[in-house]
Amino acid sequence: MSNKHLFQKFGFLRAPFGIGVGRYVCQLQRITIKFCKNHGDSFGIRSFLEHDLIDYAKQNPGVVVYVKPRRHRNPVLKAEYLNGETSWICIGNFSRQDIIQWMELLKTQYHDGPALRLFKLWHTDFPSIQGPWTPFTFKNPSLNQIKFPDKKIGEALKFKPTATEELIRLFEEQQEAKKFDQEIPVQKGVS
Amino acid sequence: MAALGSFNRLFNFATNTCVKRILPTSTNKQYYLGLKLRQIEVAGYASHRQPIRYKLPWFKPKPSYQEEIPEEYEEKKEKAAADVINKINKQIATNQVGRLFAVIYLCGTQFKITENDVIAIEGHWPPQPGDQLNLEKVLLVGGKDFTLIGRPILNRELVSVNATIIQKTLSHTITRFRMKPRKQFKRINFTRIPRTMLRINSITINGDVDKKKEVEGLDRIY
Repeated sequence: MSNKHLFQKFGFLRAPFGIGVGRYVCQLQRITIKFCKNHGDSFGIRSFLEHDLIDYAKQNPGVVVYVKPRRHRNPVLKAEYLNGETSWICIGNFSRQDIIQWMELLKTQYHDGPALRLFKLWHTDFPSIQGPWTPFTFKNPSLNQIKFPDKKIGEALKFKPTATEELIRLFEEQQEAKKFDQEIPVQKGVS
Repeated sequence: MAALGSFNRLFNFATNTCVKRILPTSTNKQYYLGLKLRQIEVAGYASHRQPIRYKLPWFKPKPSYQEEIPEEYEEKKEKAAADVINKINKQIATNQVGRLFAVIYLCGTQFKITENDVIAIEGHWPPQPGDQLNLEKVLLVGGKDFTLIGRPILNRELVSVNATIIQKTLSHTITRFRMKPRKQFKRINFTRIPRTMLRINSITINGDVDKKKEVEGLDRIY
């Protein structure tokens, strides 16, 4: 199964203009917690509200936290960001620990990350500084003057010695070995 | 085999001593009978296949002879290098380097970056949004007219690359489907990889290239 068959948004890495250039500004502006006071689905979020919500709000003074009870509906987290994007998570039957983690994630991102499949993990406005590579970069400029067909350039590349060359090499080695034998005649007497 | 080897050694020893006794002049040539026997074998075709490589192919074998470097050549080369370095230093001093780019090594991957780039790092990574980082593993820095290449990294104090963390999020849902045909085996798993986005704030070259400071690493004393 390829990515082509998935109905999923895709694109390049992007960031809201100017984020991280000067002072970092938390991109999460508003978070709405919707839950039910009766249902078991909302048990985790209710315990989160009891124990951790005040701390969360205190630690993030830039984030507005809304709490919205509604009867007999699934609990939901909805985050709204500075660039107008929203992120929505259904948190039915989530534990308190899970919800702490998801709240943290909503705070640290600036758009719904999982909704976008990235082509590249890199974004730049200046793809090349020394100029892009072409087939002619680092080539000898004398190549411009050559008239084709040229015998020297058109020669086939040789990666291995040919059979003839190999035979010559073997013959030469044999000759050397013979010479070597003649140099030490003592060896025969010993063995 | 071991017996044969030991026999061969004994044989070599005996032959060598004999050779020394009978022919003292030939010993100067440092012939070793075992070696010679092997050489004769080597003359055949089969044994001349490529030997087993113990070293990586791009490492040249050490030459057995003393290498002599012609002095004049060295001087010429040094002068050329000094000229180039002077030019680069002049550019840096007068702030004419233009936009710099760098290749950095971060969390197991290399990125080619310039100022104001955004890069994403995959996997669990502790830094939080808003954190300012100084990326120290710089493999290469280049401007319009020059490139400084680290071996493998550049001096930590020569180049400084600053970055800010702007986002921590998750990737899209990645499907991992495994199936073995005719084996009644099918698994489907879904994963999301944590990703951290980084904004590159600045790439700067501090001071002159090719100048060694007397004391280094003073910024690291806590």
